[in-house]
Amino acid sequence: MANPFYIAEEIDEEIRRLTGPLAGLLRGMPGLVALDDVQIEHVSYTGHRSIKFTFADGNRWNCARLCRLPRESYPDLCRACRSLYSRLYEDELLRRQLEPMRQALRAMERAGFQPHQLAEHRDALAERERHLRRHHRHDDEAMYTWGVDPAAPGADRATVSISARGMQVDFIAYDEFDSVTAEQQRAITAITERFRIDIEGAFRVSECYLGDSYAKAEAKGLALLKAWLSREQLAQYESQQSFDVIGGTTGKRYRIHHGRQQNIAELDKSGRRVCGWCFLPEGQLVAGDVMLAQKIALETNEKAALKVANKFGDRRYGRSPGDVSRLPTAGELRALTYGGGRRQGRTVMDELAVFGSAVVSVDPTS
Amino acid sequence: MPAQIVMDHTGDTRHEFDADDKAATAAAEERFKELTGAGFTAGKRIGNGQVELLRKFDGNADETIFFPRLQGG
Repeated sequence: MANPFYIAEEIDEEIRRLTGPLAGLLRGMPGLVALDDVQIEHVSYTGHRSIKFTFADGNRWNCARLCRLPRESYPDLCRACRSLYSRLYEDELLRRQLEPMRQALRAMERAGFQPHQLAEHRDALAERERHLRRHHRHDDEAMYTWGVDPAAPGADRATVSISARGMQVDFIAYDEFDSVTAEQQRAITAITERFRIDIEGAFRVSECYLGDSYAKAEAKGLALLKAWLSREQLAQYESQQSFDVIGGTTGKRYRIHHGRQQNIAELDKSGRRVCGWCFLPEGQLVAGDVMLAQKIALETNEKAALKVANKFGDRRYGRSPGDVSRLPTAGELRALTYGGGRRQGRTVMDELAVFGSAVVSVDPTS
Repeated sequence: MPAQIVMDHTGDTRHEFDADDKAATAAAEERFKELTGAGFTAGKRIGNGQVELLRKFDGNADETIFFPRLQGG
């Protein structure tokens, strides 16, 4: 039986007013269920989006819902959510950059650009498409999966995840009971209710939503870039959607293509691409801002810029594991206690010991 | 009128101030310190597409741009 449980119904009017159409973001937050010993099993871009239990009698329970955690654990979860959202945001921006690049290529073909110029643009486009296919396929996948493998014989996996669909961070909240007894259902519900998290984390995540304001920001960023480019760079950008800068330290030539990531090519003396560099300012800045920061950094402080940059191009580069440094550790999860009620002071482990133990492993690079 | 341009998620935010107004200049200097203290890079425009990094507040700079700390992408 399916029992949808959408937390949006519990959001007060003020948050509804502030978030407006973003209410979809607020449908849930990652559930966090601990068994005997819980750890982040792995952090990956694919995985389950529910908590699943199989009882010894074969009854099953799947759930993803809001959870309540002690306030001191909010920062970790909020960081994890913001990191997740940043990933989605980057993905969306990268996807949005493809069409202008295709249009620019068509325009260059119509304008009769030289074959080597077209080839360079095609290569950049193809590389961007490859990168998206390999590393940014988050259309409908969970981003972080906090998984638990109960060690009890006959037990199923238990996973907790934050899932995402496109730009919506869609923390699905639902229950699916498969022939569980009323007693089992009450036990599970009681546990998850104790771990309900407030809306703060989800609300912060919604700050970076891409909407009309993004289009305005993008236009503003491009205007700023154009105002700060040299006449030659501006002419080049307007005809080719890229401009050249000279490294202030080495004198090397770099070509900054329109974009936010993977958009800098180092060129040799004959203008051929040597490799790619990727660095950008922190925060969700629009393409114009990013390109301007890249230009200024390369021209005035090339060494420092390349020190933080990732090099790519003539070698395969691995998947970024994302920022997992501040996800809760096993010890932190074990230390969580209830904040009120008759269970005040009891640990998660006390409450959940009935369900057995869990495997502990960490693999942030999976 | 001198302006401090801070890149942000809205594109940028401009803070103009009157260089003859001591209080406004002091506020601009304070903003400079806050931003650079938070990891922003500051640069002033010095010519045709040329930018000079600023380590200290320059009240005579027509336009000073600030962008957040760089990270690998």
